[in-house]
Amino acid sequence: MKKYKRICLCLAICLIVGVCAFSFSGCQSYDEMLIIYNWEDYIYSKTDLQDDFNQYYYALTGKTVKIRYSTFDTNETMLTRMLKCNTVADMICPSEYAIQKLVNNGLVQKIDDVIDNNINGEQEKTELKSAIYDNVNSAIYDKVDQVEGMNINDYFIPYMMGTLGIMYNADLLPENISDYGWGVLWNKTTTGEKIMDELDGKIYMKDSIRDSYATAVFYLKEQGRLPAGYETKSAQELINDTSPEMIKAVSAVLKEQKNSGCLKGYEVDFGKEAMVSGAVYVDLAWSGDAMYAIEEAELEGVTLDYFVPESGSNIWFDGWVIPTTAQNPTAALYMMSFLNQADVTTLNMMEIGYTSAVDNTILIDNEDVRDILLEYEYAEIDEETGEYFTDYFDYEVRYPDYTDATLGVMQDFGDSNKEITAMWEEVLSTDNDLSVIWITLGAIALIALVFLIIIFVKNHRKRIVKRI
Amino acid sequence: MKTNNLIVNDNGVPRELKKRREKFRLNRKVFSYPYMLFLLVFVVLPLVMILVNAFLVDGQLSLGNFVDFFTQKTSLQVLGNSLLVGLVTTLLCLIIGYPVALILSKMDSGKILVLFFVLPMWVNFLIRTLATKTIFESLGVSMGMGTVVFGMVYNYLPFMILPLHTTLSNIDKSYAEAAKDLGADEVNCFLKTTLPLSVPGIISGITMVFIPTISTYAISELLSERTIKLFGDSISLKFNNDGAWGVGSVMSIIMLILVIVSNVLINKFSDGSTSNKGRNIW
Repeated sequence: MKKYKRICLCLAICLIVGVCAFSFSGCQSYDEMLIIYNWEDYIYSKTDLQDDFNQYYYALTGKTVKIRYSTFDTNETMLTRMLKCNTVADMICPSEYAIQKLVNNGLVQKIDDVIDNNINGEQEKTELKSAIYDNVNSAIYDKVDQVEGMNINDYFIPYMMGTLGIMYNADLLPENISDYGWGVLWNKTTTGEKIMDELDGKIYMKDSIRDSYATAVFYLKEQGRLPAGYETKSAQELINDTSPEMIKAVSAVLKEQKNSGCLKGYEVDFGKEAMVSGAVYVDLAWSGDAMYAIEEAELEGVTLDYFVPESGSNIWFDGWVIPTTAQNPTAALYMMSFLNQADVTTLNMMEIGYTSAVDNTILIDNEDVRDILLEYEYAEIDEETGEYFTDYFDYEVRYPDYTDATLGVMQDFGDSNKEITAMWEEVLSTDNDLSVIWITLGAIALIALVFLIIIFVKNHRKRIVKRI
Repeated sequence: MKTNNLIVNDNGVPRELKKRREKFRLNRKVFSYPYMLFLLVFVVLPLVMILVNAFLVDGQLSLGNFVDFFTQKTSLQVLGNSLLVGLVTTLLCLIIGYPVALILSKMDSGKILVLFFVLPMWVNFLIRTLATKTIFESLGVSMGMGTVVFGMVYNYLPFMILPLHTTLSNIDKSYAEAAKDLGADEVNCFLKTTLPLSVPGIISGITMVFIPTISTYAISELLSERTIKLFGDSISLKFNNDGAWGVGSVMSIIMLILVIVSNVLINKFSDGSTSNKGRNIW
């Protein structure tokens, strides 16, 4: 009986904990639901978002809405779920090349079509359109428009943007490190010599196929090792090139990098902490992550810096799309207009560290934006003159030149994706140093052998003794 | 078998359902239904899905996925590496674990000491591995195959010690005493009585360690700064990055086959041994 009592007690405790947890979670009812499928840590506080957007939506439509939020960690995870599982979502926020893939597969709807089909009344339509589009920096659409065969402008509303570059520890590395360009990640100068011995084992790469591929391509360019005939190609063409000779060249330099001992390893989410703690000195990083890490490091008394190599880099845009599986496209549209408001977008920038796609000229003079910047200590008011001052919008890292031709936009690799994944897998998983394994196995075998010999000798001797 | 039939009836013909309902009595079998349902949905169904996916290429029945896998040098190399790492981990666990279990079984306070070996198991393995990583970093140890093997041994050692300890402490002491009475020295006494009697424990320890190590995932990534990919990581890459579910499923099936083969081999081996005591604990 005692046993049963104990089991009952355990179950009762579980039950109580469960009930408490349930009652804390709250059970308010809403008219509608909006399913957002987004990157992790890519929007300001979710509870605030729920309240703020619910208010906004109620004021405009007279309905309440509950946000259901789910996240992905790479574009590829999201694509797999959309392509293979018909995941239901009202709005998703992938990067441009993933949007292209979704468009090519007919999985997303044109934003204007969604507005025309779901919003009643001409005035409402124009109002919503202007709320969604007016604040967006048109340079982004222009940049994407220049890319041949991209055709995604009708389908997405830009949300955040950034560049790919190198973050480094400015306390420990010389200022002219940026002269070496992408070679820093290989610890190689353009002439193939080592930059400095201290850098060995202090470099992080990203465990991300697209970014590593782009990095390797530009490194090849700097070293003058591009396959014949590729020297004149633009950054745009280079990062999207999937010809066999290019894949081979990229594979070679990535293997070189892995086996030369300059890398500490590959990361996806430990990079920022490792940079601040000084575990690594150099990290391949996105501008937003870099800005965030630079600020964090400043509090710890470490100076980090970020640069985009001159030989070329990638400029990326993440944007909202409405998939064909959307059940509440209306709420998704209103959410897009909500997110593109000056104050909301600033709040997002403050919280996640990336650069919003909203035109910065609109933000600079906005009163609400000024207050938010003050609150987050990105701006200050001079005590004597009472003058407002901020350099938030002046950073080149935060607002790169969109028209710069050395910044290429990624496109969907299409069918070549398979070969490139195979190449990346080969780089990561072959040529592992197995010496530890063989030494251990050898040691075990040796011990076993010695053991056996001892036993054998011992028993043998006894027999001899017996015989005598 | 009987429970199985009942489940089938559950989804089966209405006539049978009616018949069963008439006979329905709250007996012990009923309590197993929730778990049976769980098994069906979360174990049997996924296995069937993996099997189906492995033979599908663009919706057509095909062996293309198998060809894809076996013609890729990388995947085979990763599989080979994983098997090697698994082997080394298992051997190290056995070499470290056996003496510990032996000593513990001979001590009166052994049971409390065993607790100390089980204690780490109560902490989530990810947290343990992250902690290991931090320790290595602060010691300045460079991450690589060595740290991965260390992490694996550390994580799986309790799984080796526990079955060994159970078996060893269940061995009747009079065997060893008899051997000594008949003139065997310490070494021979151990080799001729304790070791053969503990074979079932060794076997279940090996099963407990080797099979999970082949499929280890995340430990290798965390403790090698992602420079070493084992078979489990490889499968996850196939599913998540490539969207190549077919090839991923083939790899999962290969892993399953490995598990089944090693299980069968181990069972065969243990059938020939003298005692099955303690084996069933795990």
